[in-house]
Amino acid sequence: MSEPSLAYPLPHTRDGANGSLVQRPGPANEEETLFLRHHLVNWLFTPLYLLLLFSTVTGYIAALKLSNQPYDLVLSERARLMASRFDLVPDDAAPRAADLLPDGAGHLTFTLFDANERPLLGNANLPRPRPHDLAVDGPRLRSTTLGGEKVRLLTLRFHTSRRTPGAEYALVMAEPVKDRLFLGRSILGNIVIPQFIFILIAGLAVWIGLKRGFEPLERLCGAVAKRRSDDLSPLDEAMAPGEVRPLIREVNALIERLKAMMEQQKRFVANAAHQLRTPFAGLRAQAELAKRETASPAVKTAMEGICAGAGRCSRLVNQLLTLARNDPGARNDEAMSDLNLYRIAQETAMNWVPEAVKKDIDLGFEGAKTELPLCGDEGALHDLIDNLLDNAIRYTPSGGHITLCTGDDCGVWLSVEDSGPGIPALERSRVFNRFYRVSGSGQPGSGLGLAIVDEVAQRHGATVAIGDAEGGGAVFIIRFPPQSSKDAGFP
Amino acid sequence: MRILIVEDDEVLSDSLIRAMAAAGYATDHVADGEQALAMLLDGCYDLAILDLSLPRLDGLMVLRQLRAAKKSLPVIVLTARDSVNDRVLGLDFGADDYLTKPFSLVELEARVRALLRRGQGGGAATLVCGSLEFDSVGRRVTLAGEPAELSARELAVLETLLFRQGKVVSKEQLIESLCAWGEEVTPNAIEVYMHRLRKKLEPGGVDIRTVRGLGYMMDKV
Repeated sequence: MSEPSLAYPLPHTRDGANGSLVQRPGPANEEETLFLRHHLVNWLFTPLYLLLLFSTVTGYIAALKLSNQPYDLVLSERARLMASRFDLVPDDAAPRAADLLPDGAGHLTFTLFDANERPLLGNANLPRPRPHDLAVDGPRLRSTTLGGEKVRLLTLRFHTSRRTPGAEYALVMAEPVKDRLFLGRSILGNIVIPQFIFILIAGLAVWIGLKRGFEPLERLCGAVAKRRSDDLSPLDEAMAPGEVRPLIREVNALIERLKAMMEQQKRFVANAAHQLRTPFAGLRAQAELAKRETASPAVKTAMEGICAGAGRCSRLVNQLLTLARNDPGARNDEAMSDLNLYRIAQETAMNWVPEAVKKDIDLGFEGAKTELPLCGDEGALHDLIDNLLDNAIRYTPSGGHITLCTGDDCGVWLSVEDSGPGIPALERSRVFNRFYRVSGSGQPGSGLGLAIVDEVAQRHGATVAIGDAEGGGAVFIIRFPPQSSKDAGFP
Repeated sequence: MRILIVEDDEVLSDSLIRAMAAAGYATDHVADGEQALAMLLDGCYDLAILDLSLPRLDGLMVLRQLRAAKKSLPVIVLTARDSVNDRVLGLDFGADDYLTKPFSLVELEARVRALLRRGQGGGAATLVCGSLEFDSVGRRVTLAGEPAELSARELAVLETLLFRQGKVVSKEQLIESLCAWGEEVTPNAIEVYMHRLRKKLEPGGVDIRTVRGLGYMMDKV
């Protein structure tokens, strides 16, 4: 026979409502890395930009101040020049405003006030000097607005020496700040553009630095994400940057503790199973003896019940032991070797024939190829097939048939098809749960058989699918992943 | 016939003692390994039933030292472990048979009988299946008391099946059992022998079961 009936999808995931053979979602490391990166970016860039903003503002203020200085000097010189020109004008001659203005100072406006603060002369009506501006010798400068225009206003108190010696005058001069602003802005431009380029370079450097810095962490995350769920080997410390090593060490210590705990649990289950067998053996033997020695049919029946109970208990213990052996935490790679699935399936099927014959069930084996190379744990694979066949024999009525098939297309597979009642689609995802039993089946059973099948399959990276057999009944298909040429050391 | 039971579980050893006594054997019991070894080395037991997990001296060590002292009495090992490795280990250490706990008393009694008989040099010379009797020494077959005419190859096939009564025998195993004849035997030839055998055994109500894809089986009656 080729592939078993294709009336159902041949999924690589378990068939059923919430069957989950789907790859577990990767660890949340990635998100956390991004989170950490955001933190770093926020904490690096925010202060960096604030500092740059601050330096730009202070630079601008400094630029304005610096650009004011030469202009103020020139303005003060011109004011002094005008004062001395005014002093040179003879007493009787009336000075003209144009005579006082130095060359190239046409853009300046001025008003000359006498000691009584009366405007004496000038080319504009400038405000009277404020008293505190006159309180000192030498020019006083301030910025203000005159008629809607920003100006630099100079006040100079001076005394004439030749013309009316000792007379006091006040010169008020205004210069539009347009030119100064132009200078300030060009200085600012010279600051801001390099600053901006600096920000870009700093940003790029930070970005590259972060990327570089996170590379080892990302490699580590990748390595952790790629791990098998049951891989409990310690993480490689050398992969991590120094700061993360303590964390890795802690994680490794945790893994170590977890491993020890699992090991302990596995030993406990194994020991418990072994220890339980002897009392069961005693119970069963005593019941058998009592059955022989009694004449009462009622006692005989009771003793038979005890024998059967002891048998079921010990079967349960065996199954618990098998589960403990195949538990992901108890994975034992040394048990893995190159096998021939055909041979294992054939051997196991042979062992079950007497049991099937007892129930008048036709148990058969069909294998297209006689060599099906597989790297696996022989004992566990025996357990898997044992439990599938045991299950099939339990649920198949007398006169029915069960067929174990093996084959190979893109990986070896085996299937067990029976003529029992089948498994309702809704129950298919649940039958693999430990201690779950199909409702209304009325069959004695532990509900562990298919859990064992599932665990062994998972250990081998195989998928389990349940389908409908032709003419009712169930088909279980175990599909093993294709063996890489490296692994397939089978001759 | 004297049997030593080495088992430290009281309930189990009590039932073993009673069962063996009921079967007519003289029975002694010890609960620890050292004492068991001493008694087996000194005493003249015909058979020992030996538990593997014992206080003071492990069952496997008892077995090894017993065999090292050239004591060849048959030993049935009782084990609470079912892994193939443990069984192989037990047999390698010189056990003649093993039973995994819990076992049925009937099974234990049958094994004890078989080992004691073998110890006396008398193997089961006659294989029986329903009305069929096969004398493996004289190589004669009787069906319901009447001698049946079988060819040598048919006899070889039947013998293989009877030796593994109640178990499936594959075509390859049957071919192997015929290889001694120094001829190539094809799977098709096996089918021919099987067909003839069935025809000859049919009058006695003896059937050879075909197991799909696996081989043939004679039911244990």
